[in-house]
Amino acid sequence: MRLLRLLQSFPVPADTTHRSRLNEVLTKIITHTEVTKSVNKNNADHSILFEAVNLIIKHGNDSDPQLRGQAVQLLGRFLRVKEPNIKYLGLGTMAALAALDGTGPAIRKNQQVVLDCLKETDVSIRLRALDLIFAMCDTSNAMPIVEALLVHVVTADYRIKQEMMLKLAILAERHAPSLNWYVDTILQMVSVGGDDVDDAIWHRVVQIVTNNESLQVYAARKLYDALAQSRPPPVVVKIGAYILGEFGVMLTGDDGTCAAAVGLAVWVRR
Amino acid sequence: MWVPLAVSAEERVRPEEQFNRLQTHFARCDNTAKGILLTAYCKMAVCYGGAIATGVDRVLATMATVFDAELQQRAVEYHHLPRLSPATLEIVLGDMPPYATAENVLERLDQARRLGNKNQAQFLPDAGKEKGEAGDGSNQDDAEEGAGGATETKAAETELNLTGIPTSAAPAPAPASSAGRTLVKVTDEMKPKVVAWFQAFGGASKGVLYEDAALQIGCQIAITEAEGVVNVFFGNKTATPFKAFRVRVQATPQLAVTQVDATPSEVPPGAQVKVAFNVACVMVRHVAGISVCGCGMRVR
Repeated sequence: MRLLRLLQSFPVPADTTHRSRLNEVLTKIITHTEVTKSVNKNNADHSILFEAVNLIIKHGNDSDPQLRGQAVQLLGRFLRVKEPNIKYLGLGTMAALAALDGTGPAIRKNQQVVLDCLKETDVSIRLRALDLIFAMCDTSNAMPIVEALLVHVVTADYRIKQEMMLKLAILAERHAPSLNWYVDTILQMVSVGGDDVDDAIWHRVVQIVTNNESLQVYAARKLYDALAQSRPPPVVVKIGAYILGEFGVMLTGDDGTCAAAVGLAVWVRR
Repeated sequence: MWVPLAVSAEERVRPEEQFNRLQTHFARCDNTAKGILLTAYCKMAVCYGGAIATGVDRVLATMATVFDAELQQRAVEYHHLPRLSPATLEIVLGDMPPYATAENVLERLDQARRLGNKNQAQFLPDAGKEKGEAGDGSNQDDAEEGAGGATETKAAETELNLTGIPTSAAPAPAPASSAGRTLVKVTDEMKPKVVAWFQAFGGASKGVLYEDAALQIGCQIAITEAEGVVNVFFGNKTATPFKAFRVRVQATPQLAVTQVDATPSEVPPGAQVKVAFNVACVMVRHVAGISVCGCGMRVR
């Protein structure tokens, strides 16, 4: 284990024979480690194993792609283990692997398992799972992930809720199929977010609506409708006030410029 | 000014309805929300006049006597707005201009949280080689950091830019080309990274200024009162030496810069050279600024 850790201090061996020897050893470690019944053996095996995977991560995209694939596969098995420590390490290490080229498809195969980890009782596992979900999300799986997170946000406790909403808002913006969808998603999120919604989230919504003329009418109408409920969350009132103040005039269907001139005259004359 | 956009008949909402709907929530809002509501009301009063202006006036008059000083001041100021000239009102309560900054507050927040109190500067004199030897916990952190960093980079490629602002405007403190020899070029996809390094560097005593496949530039600063030492490290990540290596640093009116000893003319492959500067702040009340303005170096 210490040797593996020492190796992490060095770059990938330039010499091909050394490199293939190293790959051989790593493959052996990765493919021959199993979860056994003996706790001590497990601990020893896994410390070696995780150091081996860390070495692969350290070597980054220079490491053997096949090895990366095997590592992902193995960690995928670990995610399904009940033992929380293994699960925790598996999630964290996989999130690091997600950063390397070519691991995406293999990691995404574990999507459902990772989403299930959000239901764990241990909050540190849930946070790790959230990190991994964030790392594995791309255009292909953004929709189901965002939808799943929207479900989880409702029941998430305060220790993870803010983090989840922040990640959700970033993902929704990054992978939005349309601007209207983005507004719908964020509104749905903040409506269940209660008092835990970070100010940055509504600031961002306002920024996006202000900068997209095509979105303004839709957003204004959406917010007007959202305010129909008797006790909307404070953040919805804030977004609503801002959006209706700025773009509410578009909903009136009148020529705003004309109305503005008249209104101005009236207010000033008092 | 506002351009009328098509709004279908069933989507239309009369101004009074909008005002009343907002007003139903006013009483139980917190003070921040009340402040935003007051601003919205004033915009409405200016826009529609009539009954809405009267309603807004009534709210402002009530709020002008509330206990919360900030809210009260806002209400009093808004109450006096109509006495200003229409031109001023137009400026004060006109449409908000589009946001000019491309910075995503959410990404910044996420990044800040992820870094947390972790050592923000990745740079160490033996860049990237130290971390593995640290204690148990740090490996996990490394892995985490690695994942985060790469997510950011991936994001930069695929991210939808909803704000419609080009994501550039980097205060790139990076080496530029010199005398027509374009060597290290800051490409567009590098810019977010450079910005991230620069931001991570703010407030830290050491950090990475620039890094790509061939070159890493790190910086370490020690300041006591008005004087200090700035060590700039140049790492050659390639297998060939950097020949005819030169460093040019530009002093600013606020900051005197003197190089401590001569710049080595060559950076061997895989090695790192240190170039030390003494800096002194010569003008008070200005933010001292130093810029490494160009590192002419020929990679052979």
